[in-house]
Amino acid sequence: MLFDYLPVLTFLVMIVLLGIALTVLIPLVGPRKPTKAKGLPYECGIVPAETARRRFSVTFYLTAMLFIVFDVEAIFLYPWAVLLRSTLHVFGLIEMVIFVALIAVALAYVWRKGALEWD
Amino acid sequence: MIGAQVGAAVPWLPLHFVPASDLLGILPILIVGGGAVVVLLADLVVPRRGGPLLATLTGVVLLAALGTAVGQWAANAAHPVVFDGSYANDRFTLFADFVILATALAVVGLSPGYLRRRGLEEGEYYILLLASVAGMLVLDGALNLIVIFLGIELLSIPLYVLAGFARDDKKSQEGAMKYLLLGGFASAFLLYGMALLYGETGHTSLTAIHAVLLRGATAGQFDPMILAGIGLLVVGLAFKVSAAPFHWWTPDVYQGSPAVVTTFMSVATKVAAFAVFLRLFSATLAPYRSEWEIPVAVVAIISMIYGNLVAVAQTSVKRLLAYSGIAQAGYVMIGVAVGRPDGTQAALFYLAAYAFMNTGAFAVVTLLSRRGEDCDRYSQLAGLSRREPLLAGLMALFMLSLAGFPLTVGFFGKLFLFSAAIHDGQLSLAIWGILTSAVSLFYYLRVILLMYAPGEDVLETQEMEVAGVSPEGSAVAARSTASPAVLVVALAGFGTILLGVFPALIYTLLQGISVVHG
Amino acid sequence: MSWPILTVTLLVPLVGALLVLALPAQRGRAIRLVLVGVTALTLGLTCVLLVAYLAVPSAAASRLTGSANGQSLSGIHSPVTFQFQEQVSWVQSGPSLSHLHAAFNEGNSAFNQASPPPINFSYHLGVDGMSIWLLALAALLFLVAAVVLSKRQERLRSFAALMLLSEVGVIGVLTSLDLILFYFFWEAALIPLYFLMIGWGDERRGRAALKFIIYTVAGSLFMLLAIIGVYFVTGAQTGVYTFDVPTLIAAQAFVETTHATSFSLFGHSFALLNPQDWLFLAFALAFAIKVPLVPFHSWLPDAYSSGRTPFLVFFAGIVSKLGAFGFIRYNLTLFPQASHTFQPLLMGLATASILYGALAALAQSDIKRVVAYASISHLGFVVLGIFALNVNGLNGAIIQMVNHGIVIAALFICVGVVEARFGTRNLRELGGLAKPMPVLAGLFLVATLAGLGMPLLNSFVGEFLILLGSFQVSPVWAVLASLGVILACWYMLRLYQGLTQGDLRLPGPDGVPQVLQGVAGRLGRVDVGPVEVAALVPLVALMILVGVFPAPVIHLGRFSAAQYVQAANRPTATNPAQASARGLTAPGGAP
Repeated sequence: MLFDYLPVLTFLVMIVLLGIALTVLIPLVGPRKPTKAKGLPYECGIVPAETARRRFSVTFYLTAMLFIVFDVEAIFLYPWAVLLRSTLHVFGLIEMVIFVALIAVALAYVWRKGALEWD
Repeated sequence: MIGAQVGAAVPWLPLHFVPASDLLGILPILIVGGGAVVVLLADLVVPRRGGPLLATLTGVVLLAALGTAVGQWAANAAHPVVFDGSYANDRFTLFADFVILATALAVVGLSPGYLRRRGLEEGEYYILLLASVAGMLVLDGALNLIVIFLGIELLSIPLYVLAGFARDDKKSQEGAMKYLLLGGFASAFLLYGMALLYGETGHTSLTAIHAVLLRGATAGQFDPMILAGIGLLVVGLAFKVSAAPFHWWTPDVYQGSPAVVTTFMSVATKVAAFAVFLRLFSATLAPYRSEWEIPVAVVAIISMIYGNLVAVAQTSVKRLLAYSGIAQAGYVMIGVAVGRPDGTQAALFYLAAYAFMNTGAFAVVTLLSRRGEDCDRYSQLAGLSRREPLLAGLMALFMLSLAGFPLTVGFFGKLFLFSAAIHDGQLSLAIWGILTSAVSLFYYLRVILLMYAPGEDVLETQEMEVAGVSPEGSAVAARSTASPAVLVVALAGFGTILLGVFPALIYTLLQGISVVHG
Repeated sequence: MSWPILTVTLLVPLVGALLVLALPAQRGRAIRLVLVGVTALTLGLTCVLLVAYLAVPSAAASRLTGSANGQSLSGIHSPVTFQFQEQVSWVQSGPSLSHLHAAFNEGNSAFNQASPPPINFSYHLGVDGMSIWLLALAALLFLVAAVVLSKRQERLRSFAALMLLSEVGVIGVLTSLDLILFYFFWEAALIPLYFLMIGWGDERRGRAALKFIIYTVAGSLFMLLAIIGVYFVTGAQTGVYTFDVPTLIAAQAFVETTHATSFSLFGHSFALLNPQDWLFLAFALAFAIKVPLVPFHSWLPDAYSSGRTPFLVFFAGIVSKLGAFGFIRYNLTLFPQASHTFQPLLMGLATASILYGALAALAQSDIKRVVAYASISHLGFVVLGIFALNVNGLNGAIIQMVNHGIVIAALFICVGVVEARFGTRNLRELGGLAKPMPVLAGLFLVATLAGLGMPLLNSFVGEFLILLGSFQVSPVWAVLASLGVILACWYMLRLYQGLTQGDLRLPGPDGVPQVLQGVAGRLGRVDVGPVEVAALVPLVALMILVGVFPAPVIHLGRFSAAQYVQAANRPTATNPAQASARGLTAPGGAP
């Protein structure tokens, strides 16, 4: 039975070997012509206007995190909508009302605590 | 138009939602969970520094849940298993509910004064507390691996936040980080154990797993995968109850967390985790008892030895109580290792006793904590009998109880555990329990010595000198604002003595409790 | 007795303690008044008890006929009879006690072994001919301690309350007839004692208290294990799962001890000794530490030398007797066969205590430590008498327990007075005190002579009977123990002469002894005051009274001693039928 997994093992071994080989070979055989432009951080081919290590407002992270949370919760509505008529029925409806109410509470909380304000 | 179509497809009447009996079965959880939402909303509308109001609201929620649980106990429902056998609302669950809810109530009583003194008044504290309590209530009745995991995570995640609640305190942050990381490890172990159990038996329901294991065990076959799964479960749960050698987080987290959180963590978490420990091992995994008996006994013995020996060397009150908590977990593990109804009853009795004495001890620490730091150094206890005779007396009582002296509930806790062990023929457990209890006297009594005879501690002379300059009257100032906290300590003391003289009050409740299984 | 006199005796000091705590702390005189009143009332109650005990017809009848059955709880006979019993159920998780007795009478185990046996214990009090003497002694010594307690004692209120709580514990230990209740009081009594030790005394009291408590509790925790063990071993063999002492004593006749039941230790069974032996040893360890016997004695000198006089009066006087009491009440009756097995061991330890205590007393220069080691030596006699396992030895032990309580209390008061007056306990710095303190010297002399076993004083009676009893076992023990008597003369007279005779010597300002001649008057009033005299005179009077008229004491102790000897010498049986064939009273007249 374990024999069935032999391809997986082979694959793993190959990956490791390839990784090691590339790491070792490139510096040995590749030509090296360093220029200043090559040393710059890659930003879609455009020459960077300023350093990439500037500070972002912490509020940005907060907003982004909140977005992800609510986004994921909203996605949950799609499978629910598909299944509502066929299987979930009233049970599903009530559950979703509770779920949405909880999201609403969370939103109210976030809003009232000032997490949505930029300053 | 859509409405009409739905109306045609769905039989609107009668409304068949979840059966009412199912909802009744988890009513305490619903109350606490709903209460958390209510407190969260209340936090949005009350003015800042509305701590006492939120505390009162939280207290009402917990009281309502406790009242419901008591009512359910009295009503003695015929069908305690709800949600297709995934949650048991039996007496075992209800008893654990009592202990957890009562502890949470005590913590809520301690909180407003403490949080104000430490400048930590945030409404989130109460919300997280309630969420964690809800997780504990889920856990103690869980009859399904998924529900167990749900409960564990629901209780743990708010605790991670609570442990780091003192945001400007590095120790609190350190504790929270350690708790989070190691807690994550433990959850992973637990989950892996569950996965192995599921993989081998094909069920997540404890009842069904039990049936499969029983079939295998009667045929004399012990599946190595299941044994591995059980081993991983022991590791994960031993982490949650802070039994050695899976206790490494305990001292740092207990020391770093705000004292009220430590109180809650040290008692309620332990009760909930032991509830699932007892349910799993005395019922579900009972067919494999011959296989797990020795590892569990070894964990118990290591906890008793390690906790008690290391506690001797502590110079921090909270670390002392942390190591004592490890040792106490070892004692309760005796009940798990015995496994039979008398072991389960003895463990439950001990947990109830532990709730009284440990909540009390931590509550005293809470009351003595001042602005900016917790009462943690031994020197802050020195000469307490002169400054705060009542608190010193109660602290002495809790120490004696933890040491297992008669007149206190701790004595009967140990008596029942040891007699269960001896009756089961596990004499070694009882002997180790006795030996380590003797060791524990040293550090428990040293706290008393410190409070009653300053300058007398033979080991801490340097610290004593510091005691001379420690500001007096810290707790006096606390007293005026913390009357519910004083009430909590007094009630814990009263319970410790009352149950120490009349253990039958609880012991008779436990009669006939054995773990319902499907 | 229609009213629960033992419960009342137990409650009086408890109520007294609450009363004391209710008084304001600065009312020293009132606190002392309450303390003396309460302890006097307790003494009165025990005297009533003593008189009533002697007047109880059944006891008198059995004493006259010399038979020792009469104790009955639904027909089970214990060789040791208890009077004034009171019983209330405490924790009951299974069939009631009467069901247990029914099961016992049927002679089989009525319990399904798979289900956990019930845990029953009750609030069961009672006294026998031994404990009643100790009860009276306890009440007397607490009264003496209350009298000696100065109203200028720092934190008097706490001291008084803790003292009364200790009295509750001691009375509880002496009267409880349920193993759990006994253990409960045994350990609970330590709590006030611990607080008394850490709160009052010299600068080394903290270490002494910790040492005492850890020694004692370590021992008694093993006893707790053994208590549970007795419960299950007896239960498994007779079907009687109980902690009730009279029932257990009776049941021991049916506990088989020849075949070892093996306990499993991680799957290995060990059966080096049979369970009864292990249980005996666990009990013996707890009691040997409390007495203390020699390898377990090292807490005692520290504790005795650091304590305050009123504390020492009852601590040395009665608390140490509880160990000897435990040997008699529990070791002899619950493990008759093991008592014989370990007779040489215990007698050897007792002899070692006698000799070691005596020699160590000779080497001390601290006057309190002299008395402390003397106490070890004297208590060795008591244990020697107990494990002679005959009527003479046991009778002597019972008498000697009471005598030693009286003598040691008097000695500690005398020594305490000296320490309080001159601020030192060093024998080398003191001398010639008979001149400034003639009254003390006189009373001290009587106590000293009593302590060394002078005829016509009380200790002689007890020691003589003990030597008689141990001679019956083997002359070797008696000879060795007699050496202790000789050494006692030496160390007691060394203490007395050193303190009272010769030139007047007092500690000088730079610690060098100062020899004063003819300046006794300059010391002012240093002799014992009326309070100390009031405490010492009754004790000294008792020493003389018992020494001159020993007959009543001997006769009263003999009855109880005979019962315990009978309990210890019961042949054990493998089944009730065999037991009755050996002439034992089978329970409830079973065939």
